[in-house]
Amino acid sequence: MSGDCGLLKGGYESERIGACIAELGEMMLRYGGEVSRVEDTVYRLGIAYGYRSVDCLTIMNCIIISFTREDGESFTQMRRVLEIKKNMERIRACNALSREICQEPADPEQFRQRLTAIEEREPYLSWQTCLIYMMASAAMTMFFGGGIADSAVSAVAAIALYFSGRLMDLARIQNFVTAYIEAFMVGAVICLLMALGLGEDYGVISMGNIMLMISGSGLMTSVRDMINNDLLSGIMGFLSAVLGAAAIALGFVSAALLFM
Amino acid sequence: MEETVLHILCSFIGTLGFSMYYNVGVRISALNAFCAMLGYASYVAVLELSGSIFWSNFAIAIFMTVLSELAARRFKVPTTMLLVPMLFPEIPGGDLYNMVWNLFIGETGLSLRYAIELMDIIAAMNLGIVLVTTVVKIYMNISDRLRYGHYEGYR
Repeated sequence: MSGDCGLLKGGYESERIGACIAELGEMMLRYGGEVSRVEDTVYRLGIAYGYRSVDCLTIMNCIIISFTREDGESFTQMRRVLEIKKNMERIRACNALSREICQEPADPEQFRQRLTAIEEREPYLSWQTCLIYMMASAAMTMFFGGGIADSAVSAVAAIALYFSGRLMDLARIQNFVTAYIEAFMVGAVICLLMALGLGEDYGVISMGNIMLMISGSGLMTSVRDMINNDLLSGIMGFLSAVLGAAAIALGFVSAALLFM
Repeated sequence: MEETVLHILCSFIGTLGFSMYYNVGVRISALNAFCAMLGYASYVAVLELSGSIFWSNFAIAIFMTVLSELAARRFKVPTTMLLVPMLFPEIPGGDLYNMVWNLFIGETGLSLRYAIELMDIIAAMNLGIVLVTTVVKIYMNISDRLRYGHYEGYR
């Protein structure tokens, strides 16, 4: 590419900008954004930078974007998302960044720096996250009719949930297997605590933890995808959420049958 | 009555934790928790009046989706960030556990009953969400066309 043919209206290099836009789209998808939101963001950014047209196809774990410049030249960017890890704060930050850039386009360097800053954004420290797990599962155990002792066991089991989650991140295996192993480990901890005379009802203690693990967001995002005509992503997301939920319940039940 | 108040309080704390579990900031998490508590209280009231799990979940899904759409525009955040935590207390985690548990201990009839209830809740919630989301989408399309002469978004 030579001369000005690779430049957009602000003098930005079109392929570098295209790569940044694709990266932002990939991040949104990776952190659990809906397909329609990803496509819309990519489209709006592309138009804001001065591409003549932007065509984007996104499914649950892949994004393909074709950019066409004013001079008629096109190029394509493709990103594969291997793992979806829900992080609403990062989706919000990506959304805010795209709004800002649509108002005032940034150069590729700045764009990339902002993306890196989003990747590094962690609203809570590790110990805070662990406390959050404990608080939510204890409250939900009480919500399902458990007593104070059941809630306390649920809170301790939530610590096991936190650490098993960390462990599974390292193992990098299939989602359903991960969900099953995590649930089984938490179930085993509950059984152990109950064997020590703590807690009374395995069911309500488990339910408190199950609520945290079930992908309610996966279920709802997939429905929204289906409404937006993204049937393939919707069906994939729905099946993934249902199978994940079944694996979680199975993990808790099999731990109880084995240890109680 | 006391038990209901305790459950409503637990729905607040549980949702606050769940929202933060998904890395939502404290301010928005507090809003989610408050709306979820309001939603659960309404759910209890509608269930008392109608006696139907389907209609109470349907009504709450509509209520929460409207709230989340309004709050998303007010705070400029994605709707999912609000809707998922707001509906957290209504997610049928208990039914799911009971369904699998009863299946394993050979209580097939009971397991089937929980499975049907589970499907009922999921269908009711999704119908409520679809209804409100579709109305919002139609409104956005018409308002964009009136303002700019064409739809501003991708599709």
